[in-house]
Amino acid sequence: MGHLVRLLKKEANRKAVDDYISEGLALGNAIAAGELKDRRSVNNRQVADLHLSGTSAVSTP
Amino acid sequence: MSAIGNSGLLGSRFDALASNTIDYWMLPDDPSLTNHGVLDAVSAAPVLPDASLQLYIHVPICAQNCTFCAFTGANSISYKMAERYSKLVMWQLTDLMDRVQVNGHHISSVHIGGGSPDLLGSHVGRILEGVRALPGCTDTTEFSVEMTLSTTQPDFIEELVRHDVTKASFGIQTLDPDLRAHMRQPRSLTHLSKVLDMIDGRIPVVNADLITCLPGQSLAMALDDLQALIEHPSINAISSYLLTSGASPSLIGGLLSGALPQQASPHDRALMRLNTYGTLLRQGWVRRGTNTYIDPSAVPATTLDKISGNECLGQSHHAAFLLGVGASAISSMPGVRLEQVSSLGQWMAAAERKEHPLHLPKCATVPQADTALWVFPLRHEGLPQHRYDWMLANGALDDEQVRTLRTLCDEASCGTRPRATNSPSSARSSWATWYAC
Repeated sequence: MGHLVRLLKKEANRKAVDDYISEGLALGNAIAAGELKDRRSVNNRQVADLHLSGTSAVSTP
Repeated sequence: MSAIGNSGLLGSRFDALASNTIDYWMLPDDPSLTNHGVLDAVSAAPVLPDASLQLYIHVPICAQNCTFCAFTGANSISYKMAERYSKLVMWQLTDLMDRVQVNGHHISSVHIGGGSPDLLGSHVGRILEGVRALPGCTDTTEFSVEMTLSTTQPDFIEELVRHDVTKASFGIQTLDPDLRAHMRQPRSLTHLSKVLDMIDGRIPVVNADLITCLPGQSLAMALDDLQALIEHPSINAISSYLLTSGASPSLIGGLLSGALPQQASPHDRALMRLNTYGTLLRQGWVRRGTNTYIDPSAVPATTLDKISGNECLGQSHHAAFLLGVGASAISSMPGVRLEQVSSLGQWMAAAERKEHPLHLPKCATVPQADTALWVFPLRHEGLPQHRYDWMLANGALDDEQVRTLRTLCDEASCGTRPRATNSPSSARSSWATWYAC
């Protein structure tokens, strides 16, 4: 279903979903690399930039 | 995604399942927004002919910290704080209702989710009582409440029964103890029978969540979980979710580092989704919402009619109002997306001052008149013809969207139905089964 939703959105709004997925991947990479502690607060996307600021990950491709 | 249609998974155009299945309603950040401007947009949101009204109350507290879950919030709450939070969400809900022009319109559903709403204990009664008193709340309004099995207590269940809640919902995710341990869940499910004993048949719909595509889960394991719940005498609704790494950074980290077992192959994952929906449909269960199926032989027809299905927590179409209150809650209505701050302390402090604590970067005042088009794969009712016609008549769709819809209809029709069609409404049932994964 997720594929269909994304494909049917306008291109500009599709980017917001793609960026969100990329941000999650960057956070996950930082956890896997040991740069970020695997705690519940990592899920808080309102402060994702703060989490990522001290890591080598980037939030967008 | 495959360059050539129908050469991917199960004859579809896709080589893998989607990476994210949660917040499709989000829009690009807008640094120019102000609290005042967003609340003005809330007041200006028009009541269009196809308007509907649903309420969501978020409880940002959960004692568990499951690997798959994107929840963010506190892990405990005191009795006094639960009382205070219950009062504040009711203040926010009534204040928002006073601001919107749709106030007084029939409320089709009220969903209390989280987190673990059971951690409010008996204070959930204050919320249920307050919502019941709102204009537009009637006997046909659906009330659904989530809970966590390990923390649910009898006083909470008694409040749900006392306030005539339609649906109680909890996560099981999987019955396999090893998979549960990987997800940081209790290995055993001893709390399931305790909670079902507390409910004792007094809540008409009892829903259990399952997750497919967990690390280490095979197709057979996923189908065994499903069959066990279908046969369970006290469970008459099942919501089956696709585990997506896009939702939880912790899950991504665990998979990348090797701390978690690998997931099944993309082909087997697609089969898990297709077989889950296929099995439920063959059993005669009916779809409500995005991922929820209900056994119609175990639920009165009048109750089934109430279930509108809003677990995806977003608008179904441009005219819909979904008012969300509490920390982290998201509202959507014509021309507005409103997101509350996720910090519980910050949210409560602002609400005490009678302020709406918005996280402005994630708010938006941009109309999404095309919502019904891209939400319809998530909706049990598909895309009603009148909504498609409305979008075309109001210039809501660009050429690419119309072209994409027609192409997908052709692909779905070729794959699963004997007759080809370009009509979105006639193609919806094939999409629901074929492209559900």
